[in-house]
Amino acid sequence: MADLETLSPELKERLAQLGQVEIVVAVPGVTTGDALRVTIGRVRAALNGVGASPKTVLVHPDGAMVEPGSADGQPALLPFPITPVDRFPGAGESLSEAYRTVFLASNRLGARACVMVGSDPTTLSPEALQRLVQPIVEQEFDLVTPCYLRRRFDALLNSSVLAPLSRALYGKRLRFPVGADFGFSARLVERQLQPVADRGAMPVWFASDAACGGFKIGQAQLGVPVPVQRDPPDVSAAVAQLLGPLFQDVERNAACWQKIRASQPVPTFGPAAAGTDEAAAVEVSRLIEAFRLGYRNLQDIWGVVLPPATLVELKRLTQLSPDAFRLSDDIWARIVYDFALAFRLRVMSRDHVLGAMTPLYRAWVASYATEVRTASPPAVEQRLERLGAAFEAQKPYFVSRWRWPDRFNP
Amino acid sequence: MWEQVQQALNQSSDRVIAGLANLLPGLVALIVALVVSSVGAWVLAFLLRRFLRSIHFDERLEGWGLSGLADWSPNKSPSLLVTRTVSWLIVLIGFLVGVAAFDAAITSEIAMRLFRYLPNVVAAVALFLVGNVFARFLARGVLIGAVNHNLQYARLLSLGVKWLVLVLAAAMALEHLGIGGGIVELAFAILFGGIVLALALAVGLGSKDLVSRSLERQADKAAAPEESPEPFRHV
Repeated sequence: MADLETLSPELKERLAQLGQVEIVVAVPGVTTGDALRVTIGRVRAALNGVGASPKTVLVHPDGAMVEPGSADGQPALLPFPITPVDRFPGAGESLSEAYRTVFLASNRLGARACVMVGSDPTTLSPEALQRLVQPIVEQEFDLVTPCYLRRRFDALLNSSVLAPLSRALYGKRLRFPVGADFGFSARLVERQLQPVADRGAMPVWFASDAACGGFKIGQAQLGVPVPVQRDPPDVSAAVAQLLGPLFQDVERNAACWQKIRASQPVPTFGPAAAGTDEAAAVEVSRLIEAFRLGYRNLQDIWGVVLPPATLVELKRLTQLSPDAFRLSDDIWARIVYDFALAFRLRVMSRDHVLGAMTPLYRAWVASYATEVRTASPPAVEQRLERLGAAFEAQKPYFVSRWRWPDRFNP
Repeated sequence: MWEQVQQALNQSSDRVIAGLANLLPGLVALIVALVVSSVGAWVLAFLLRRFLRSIHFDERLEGWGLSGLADWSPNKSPSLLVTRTVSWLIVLIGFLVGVAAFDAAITSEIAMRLFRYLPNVVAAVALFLVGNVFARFLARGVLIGAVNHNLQYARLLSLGVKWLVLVLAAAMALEHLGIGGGIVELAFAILFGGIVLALALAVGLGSKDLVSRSLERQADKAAAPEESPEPFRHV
């Protein structure tokens, strides 16, 4: 559903009845009446601290209903045909339609702020919800990204590629450029509704669009761990489905990120909650073995993507014992950049490019896990900070290869 | 009597000269047809090469997953392969036109037969080329997929798939050419079946331990459902 004209007459009438509103909160994950009741209470409490009782609409899936009269007043309810976004999209599926539907509703209602709560809203505190809305309504921010509690072995694709690459390319130090919970301003919603060529299954482009469009970006401490995806895919499918749209986005924004130098921290709203991230004894030998298997079989393919110096490093890595297994940040950053370039140049089928990256990602996970398994949470943070800095340091390499892919081959 | 001999000689000379005179226009026509078709082929190849370069044909081909075609091309350039194929086809057509100009029943029949056979040759070559490219594409996909699923015999699997498709493409090409007939079908069935059997045996023997470990894990899972989960979450 991406066109309001296809809505039923009842829904169109309901939209007209609601008229102009201040805030739209979408909760696509609420599927039962009980969950909707709890969510109404949370949203009501969250809005108490925002301005002078802004008129708010809670957009929820049309399957979840509460008895008439139990939700009078704020927020007004709008049952809407929206699909959940807490499930990793399967092959051929896309989450962008769900976001687009909410943006269309928000735009039609003339809302100043649109909040997408993709994770289970009953787990979010009213304060967390407030942090997604308040910066937009009161401080004129355009995008508020989520800041989840970071456990050392959670959201590893975010830690290894998404966050550092986004930081290096777009100059914004966001902890979770891709997540399930966002706050958008009306300006940004309008921009998102402009037609753009296929953007892939995962919504990786909010932060890059906002950074390149000069929009004001912040992040909100939500005090909850990264939402658990239903039916998580296997590693290679996750790598393909997350990094494919990311590399597409890098290609689309090439003119923008080549001009950006260095990175800046972004304002973070709310105190960082103490997590429950404890040291854990993890077994990495299977990951290392998977990498070695990749090295034995995929050298021809890696040889097309990676420069000889990186291949030499990978060979050295295969000879290390599990305890000494370390993939340096600089090499990892170059590998990611080289694969982004191979994706752009279509040196082979794009599915093959992404598939060939999986053993290398496993090598990074093994190296990272070996380093941080007994580290304290601040040490883990420092470790990831160093990785982000390495991506920034290697950005000139990426820019050179991007501009002169044939001439520049170190 | 000498008059009769002289007359016979004269008649034979006339016949030979008349025969030669009849042959000469055909020969000239053949040469002219060859020259014209060669010039035409050169011009067309030049234009085609420029056009393919302007649309970045080689890069596009790689983008479509047909990079394997480069290995079969002169100077690793599929554009060059296409232009050369087209130009030689034009020269061949010119040659056949020239041969037909002899206006002799046999040469004409040969030319017509060749003309009738030409589509089969083109189709067979196209089939084999497409099959080759498809085989390489599939082999690479299988190799990457098998490695990502931690299959130790990934390369063997990939090679098996590649040769399966190659054998299939070769058999189809030969059938189009009308070569071998039943022998090709029989050889194909034996080869195809042999490869499948070899793969099944290799995978079966190679994954004996894997299967037993998997079954053990299933049994353990049933006995102890609260097994500790994988500590790494990727998304």
